[in-house]
Amino acid sequence: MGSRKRKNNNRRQAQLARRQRNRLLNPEGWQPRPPAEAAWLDVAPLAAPNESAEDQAVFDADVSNRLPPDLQAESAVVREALDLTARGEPHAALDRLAVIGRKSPYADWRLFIRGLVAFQRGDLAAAREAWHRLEHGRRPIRIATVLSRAWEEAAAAPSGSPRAVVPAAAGSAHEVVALGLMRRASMWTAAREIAAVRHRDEERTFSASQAALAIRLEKQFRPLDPDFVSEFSAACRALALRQRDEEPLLALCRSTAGPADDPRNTRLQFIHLQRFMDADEEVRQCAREHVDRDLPGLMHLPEPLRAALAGVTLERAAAHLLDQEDGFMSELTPHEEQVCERLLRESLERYPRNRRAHEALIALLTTRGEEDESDGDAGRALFNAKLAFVGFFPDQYVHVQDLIDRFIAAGNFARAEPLVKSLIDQRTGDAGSRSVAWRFELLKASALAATDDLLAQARTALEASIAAWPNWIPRLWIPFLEAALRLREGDEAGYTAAVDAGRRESPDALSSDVMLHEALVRMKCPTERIEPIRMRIRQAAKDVAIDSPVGPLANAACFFMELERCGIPLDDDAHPAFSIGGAFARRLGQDGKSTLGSLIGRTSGLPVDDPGFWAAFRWLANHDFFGVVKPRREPKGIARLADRQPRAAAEVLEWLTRTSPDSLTTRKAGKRLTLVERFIATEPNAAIVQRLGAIVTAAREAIEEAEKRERQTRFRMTGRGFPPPEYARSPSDLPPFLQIILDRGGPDALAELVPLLVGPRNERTAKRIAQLAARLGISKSQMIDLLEP
Amino acid sequence: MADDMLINGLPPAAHLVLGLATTATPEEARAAYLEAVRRHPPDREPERFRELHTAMQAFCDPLPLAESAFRVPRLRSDLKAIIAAAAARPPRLPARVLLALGNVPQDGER
Repeated sequence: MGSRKRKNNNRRQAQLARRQRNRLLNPEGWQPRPPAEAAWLDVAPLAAPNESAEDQAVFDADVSNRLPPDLQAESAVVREALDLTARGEPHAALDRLAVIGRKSPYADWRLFIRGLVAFQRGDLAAAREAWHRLEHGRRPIRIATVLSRAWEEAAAAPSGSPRAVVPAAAGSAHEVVALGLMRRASMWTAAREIAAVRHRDEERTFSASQAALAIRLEKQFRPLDPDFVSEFSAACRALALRQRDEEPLLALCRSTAGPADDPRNTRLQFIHLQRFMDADEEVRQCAREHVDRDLPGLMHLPEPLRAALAGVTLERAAAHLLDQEDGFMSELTPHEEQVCERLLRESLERYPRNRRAHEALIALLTTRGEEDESDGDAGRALFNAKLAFVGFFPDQYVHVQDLIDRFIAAGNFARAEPLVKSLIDQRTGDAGSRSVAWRFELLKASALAATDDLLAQARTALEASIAAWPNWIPRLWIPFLEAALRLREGDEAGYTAAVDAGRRESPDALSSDVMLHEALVRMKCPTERIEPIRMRIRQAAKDVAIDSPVGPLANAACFFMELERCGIPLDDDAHPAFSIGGAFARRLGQDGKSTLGSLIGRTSGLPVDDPGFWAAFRWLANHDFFGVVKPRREPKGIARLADRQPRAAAEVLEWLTRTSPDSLTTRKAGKRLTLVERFIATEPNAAIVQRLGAIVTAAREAIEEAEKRERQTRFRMTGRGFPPPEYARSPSDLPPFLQIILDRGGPDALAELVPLLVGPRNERTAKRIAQLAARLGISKSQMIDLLEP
Repeated sequence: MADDMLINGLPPAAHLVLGLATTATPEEARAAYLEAVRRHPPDREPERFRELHTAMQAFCDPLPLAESAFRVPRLRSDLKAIIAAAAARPPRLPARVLLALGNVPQDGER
């Protein structure tokens, strides 16, 4: 019998405990019991016998209506200022009081509110400074006296226990109220209970029971101290956001009031959901809720801010989907692409000045535009998106240039012109932007020259282009352009004279031919006049021999490089420039082979100090004339130079960093880096130091990345597909054979074995592995069994 | 200020700081800003001036403000420190309660 009674008792206890737990975990169903302080808020001002009508008017509308209009207005201002102070807008309150004059009966109230603002800041000295000048016998000084006395008493005896709820030292009823409100004893007790919780699990920052208590605190004490409760609840939500367990956060979001611009905490939940890769549906729902339900109701926010919040929300929802694509290296489905596009377009409709939304939309449409080679709907959509982007952000010069090209190609110079002007006004450092006027007029001349009737306009455009000629482009090309236009106009004599003038200025015959050819093509001259020159250039390329001078080839390649740098590409694969490039690369590959210099270990006379030579080198490198097989190798002539000459070493390093960073992990590349660094240490020219410094930094970073990749690749090549130990989060992440090594020899043995596994397999490695096995008490055959998959 | 913003949501909207209606035009905002700066010059009230300046910037382009609202909220201090700081300042009282504290004690009260 006794046993059954004990069992029942135990069951009842368990039931009670379960109910208690459920009540904690389901705070929404819990009804708050108002604390003692809440009753104290339920008080009302009462007029004292013989109280002045001006003072009564502040809280009694009937009395206020009986006052003269000027005093009526001032009493309303005082009441408004008191309300603003209570809402936490002290500056606005003080600004309103500026209309009350010094001799007004409400000057005392102005002084009182000034002190009240300091008091609420916690600056009692400043409050007293204002209040000690108040007139005796009036309401402001009575309030001030009660407030300062209550605050002093509350501060002298901080509330630690619930007993302190009843202020013993207080006198009259409203003094009791004041002391109770200042002390807020039960609120601190409730808050400290939440703050005192300690978690055994390091990853936990806020538990479900803490959340339940925080919700209670919010419901009970918000009317008593809205500032503290808001801050405390927000801090609880921020803590709950840090952990994996989302239940406490979701409970807090449901049952505590968020800040004024997110009262339902929808945005906070949106931030939380964004961390989960598979939550795109929930992220979009949350975004829609914030945009469609929350923001329209927040009328206290200005319309532009609401629009910006809506725009950012939608853009972030789209970014969540797009990030997912990057994360898993998988492409979006057509449906997901459409969803993304819709979100981004709506984001821009709501707030068009959002750079990130424009960029994301252009990136999305670019992917689709690439697939749509026929320049169909996707191409047009991309074009319109870029146009909208540069309309709001004219500093996007890459897109501006692209649009200018599109307009020029379509012969729509009128629409291109304002974009050209905006680009000129921006004065960017980019070569393409700085030469935009020159390029625009040149391309315009080229397009107009195609039509016989528009040759006069083509001449005007060419003259405008010559007037805007950039400093860094050789002016040697001008006579050839003049000549080409003359030929197009039918002026043979003028053509011959201009070509002769050009050839006289030109450094060599090949350069003349290259420039003339380009001018004839640009000015749409007849093919029968272009072809002989093209043949001559190709023949010159064929005739390049092992000992041919490098200068003419470098001059020609440098000319092509400058054209491309200014956005005039050589689109045609049959362009003779590519014959020159091939010949030049061959010549560099053979450089030094037959010269006396090579026999005594020196390089031949490459013009290494000529910037044009290195521009030509970059052009060759950009067009893969040194081969596409990785690891990339520079031509022998350049390689010899790069081993000794810092400038050459820097150029090669820059090229490899850009095109084939894996080639930088060799010992030779390391030596070259050291050579450049030593040169930088002694070089006085700051510009050179800056440029070479940037090359070295980029190369070092690329080497680090390449080595990391190489390490990972070697590990994968062992056939086990496990992460290298440095990436393993715990020993259990290691493959079994490494766990055995770890168990037998500890981390030191593992550290010794890993480089042997990663490094090249040779006799030395095998010997060291055998030694390690012997030390760990593993036989050689066991070790082989362990290492081989 | 920045951390407060991150915990407690956005700072007071520009129109509140400048004393404007939510439908104010840019011209009205500019006039209100200049008037406020005249009343609170930066050499005398640098804090207030900074607040006004931020408000004006937010009025001209609210996007940076809107973007800041999407950062993960950070804690300036732990819960105990928040309690201690709040206990050191008096609460804001509703105007009605405040005015009632000026009532003259009734007969029988001390």
